[in-house]
Amino acid sequence: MLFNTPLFFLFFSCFFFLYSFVFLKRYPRLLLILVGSLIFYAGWNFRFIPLLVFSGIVDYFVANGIQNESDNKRRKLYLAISIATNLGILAIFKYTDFAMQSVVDLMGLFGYEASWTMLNFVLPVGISFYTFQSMSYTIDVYRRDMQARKGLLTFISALAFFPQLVAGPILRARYILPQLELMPSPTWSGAKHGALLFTVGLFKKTVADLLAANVDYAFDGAGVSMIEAWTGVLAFAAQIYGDFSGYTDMAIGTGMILGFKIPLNFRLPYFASSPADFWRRWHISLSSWLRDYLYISLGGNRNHRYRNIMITMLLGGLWHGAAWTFVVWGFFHGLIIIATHFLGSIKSLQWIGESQAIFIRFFKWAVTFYLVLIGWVFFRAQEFSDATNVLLSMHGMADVEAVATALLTFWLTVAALAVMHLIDWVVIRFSKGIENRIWLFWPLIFVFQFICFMFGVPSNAFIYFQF
Amino acid sequence: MPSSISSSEFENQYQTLDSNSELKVRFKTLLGGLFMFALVVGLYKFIASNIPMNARVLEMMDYVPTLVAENPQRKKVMVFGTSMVQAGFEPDQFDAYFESRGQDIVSYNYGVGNLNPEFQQYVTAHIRRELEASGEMLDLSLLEFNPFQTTKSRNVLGAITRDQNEAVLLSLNELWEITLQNPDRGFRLLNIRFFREGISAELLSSIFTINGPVNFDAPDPEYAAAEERRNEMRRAFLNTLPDGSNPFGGIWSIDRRGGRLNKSQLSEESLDALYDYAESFVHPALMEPDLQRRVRQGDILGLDFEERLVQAFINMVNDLNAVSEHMEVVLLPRNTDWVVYTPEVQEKLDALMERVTRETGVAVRDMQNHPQITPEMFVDTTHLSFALGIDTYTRVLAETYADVLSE
Repeated sequence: MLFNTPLFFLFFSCFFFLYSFVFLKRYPRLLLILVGSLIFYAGWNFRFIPLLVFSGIVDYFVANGIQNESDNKRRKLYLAISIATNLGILAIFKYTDFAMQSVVDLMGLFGYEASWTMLNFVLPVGISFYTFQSMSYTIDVYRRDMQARKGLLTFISALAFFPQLVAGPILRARYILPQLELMPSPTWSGAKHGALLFTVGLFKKTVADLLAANVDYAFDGAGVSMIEAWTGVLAFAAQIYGDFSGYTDMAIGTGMILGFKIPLNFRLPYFASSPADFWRRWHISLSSWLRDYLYISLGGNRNHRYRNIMITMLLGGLWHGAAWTFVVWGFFHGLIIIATHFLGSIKSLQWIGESQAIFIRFFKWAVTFYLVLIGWVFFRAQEFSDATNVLLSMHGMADVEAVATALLTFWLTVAALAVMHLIDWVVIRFSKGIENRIWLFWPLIFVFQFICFMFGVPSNAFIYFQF
Repeated sequence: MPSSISSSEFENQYQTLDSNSELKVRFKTLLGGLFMFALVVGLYKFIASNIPMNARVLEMMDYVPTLVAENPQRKKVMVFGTSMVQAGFEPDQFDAYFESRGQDIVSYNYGVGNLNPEFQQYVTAHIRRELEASGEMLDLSLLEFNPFQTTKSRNVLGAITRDQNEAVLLSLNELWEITLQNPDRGFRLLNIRFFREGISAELLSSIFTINGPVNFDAPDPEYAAAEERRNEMRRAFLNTLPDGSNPFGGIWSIDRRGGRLNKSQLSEESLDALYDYAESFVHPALMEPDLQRRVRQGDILGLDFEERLVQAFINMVNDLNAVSEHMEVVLLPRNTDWVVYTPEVQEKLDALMERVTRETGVAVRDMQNHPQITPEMFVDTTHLSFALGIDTYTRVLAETYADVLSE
């Protein structure tokens, strides 16, 4: 079930009605959230519901085991069970074929031929999100950052909570569990803000889908001219931003309409002034998860900082997909973060990092944006050869003539990217003001909803669902 | 992201069950959402209702139950097909031919454009259902086989309208079955049918895509001049009509039984202007791009057939055959100046037609190279002209099937 479909509209209308008018006590509401979330998930494949519940049950009991255990070795053993279970699920469903294929390819390099049959498992939607979410609970309890909870139903409901179930944000237990324990009711201000975010998200998703053809044109095989390559890469930057941030805006909006608070997942990422700054703005719930549970566990800034950055970014890349192009994307981001840290550590260059001069700020933004775009080439390309072709075209090293519409398409793409960020900036900056002015709020919602209804294709899935 | 949220902090920020947020707020939220939905859909419907996107095919389908009931004593003829039938067959002239021979025949033009066999089969299935329910038969049905609507390219092109066509052409029972099997898709189709006036978002958004139907390229000057002349001739013809009506509208009308233009009601002046208008189409600068478009979108010269579309066509033959006393598959005349098959392509087509006959028992009549139809009788590389082409071909059909209808 996608947020941008008529089925979700029907589902959410019914859910909201039951939540607001029929199930008024905490426990019935909890049951409603659980059942509703599982129905929502079953919209893709009901056969994977047991996997989600299994992950939740294991972590619930493991967390209580950790809580009740004073022996450090046993606590570690419990934690290992949780991590092994979650990463095991991920490994089996997401990475087995990738690992097998990589071994086959490697053997091929040395002249050995292996004819292994790939498992071709269907990737359960949202698996990368809910396993990380579930693991964060046991790690937090292990670190004594939070108390283990009594109430299996609450924990499973938190894990399955439908607004964020399939594509995040990765909602940590310490954030969502207290809300489910208190069980909020809708508020008018929350509903208005939720409606605004949902509408903005839907609009961004609609624009992102319209850009898909430009992306395909640049990346799918045949060579393209310089301007078409730039159009394709910019279009992908806009598409993935509109698609993913649009989804999380809709998730946050849906939660807010019900009275829940879900943290911001994007903060104008293409305004970033350094690669590290980009990751503080892009998919914040993942980058902060990786920082808190992986980077810091590896030693953080204290020991082997550059190694820790590279391992974190490599695994972050691999989290996105089981393909070497994602690993290279992660490696590339690791490399540019390390490079900027290294340059920042050179005394004679430190003024650049500190300078607030417009030219310097623009320079830092332009370099960062360029590097992020280069990264997206690896992220989007199906094969390294496609990535190489696009990179060569971007830098004027392909002898291909542009179609007559190329320049117009380029500027339309730039406009789409700018409009998305402009809207987000307005919402971050002025949402309260908009929501308090009825004459502005309702017409705005109406216009955006109308555009989405006209042109929003409900059959277009979200890119991040495949992760 | 804040590292955690405490219960007290949460209580401060949000109303909880204990504070019992007012019922009014929940009502306002629910009604606000529904009101916005109604407003959006209302405006959309207002705009879309003026776009006759599916009007012809829907009226064609609506009229099936009364088609038999209103003409119990008359012999009924249905010519079913694509826009080539729509452009090439005139029921009034066909019926007049038989009237002059003392036969009471009523014929119907069931041709409609932009539907490949995958979607046409929903219409023939509907016709079969309705006629079987009434226990009546058609005396003669002719089903056009359009080679380039059955190709792999056409199948790819059809994907963009799949949801829209299924939403509009399937029966409610069929839509409900889809909904039970795949709720997401089912509700999408129901949404298109009931809230989107039968127009899918895919179709609307396709105008923005780089390879979509909008072409920003500057047209070739010769093409532009020929097109301007064609538009001029069109205006000149329309100006001769007394009521300012547009006889080329795509709507299927019961009165005209699917025909487009009743020439017997036109004045001499209008007829002259009409022939000038038809002549203005026949220009190489217009024909060449038309051919290239059909090569691109329909593989009109290569005819690489798509099996699922072939199978859909066979379903159509079976459907119409089940409710017809006599039925034939017809290959309509081809503009042989422009659409030229290599021997290999002709062989492929012949083999396919043999297969249709073998699998259905229905004969195929190949009129592609009919001696009475010449390239001047076309308005483009495929469609017969509304001047000479339609008259000649309607007469050819009447003469061809006179014996069948005399029985």
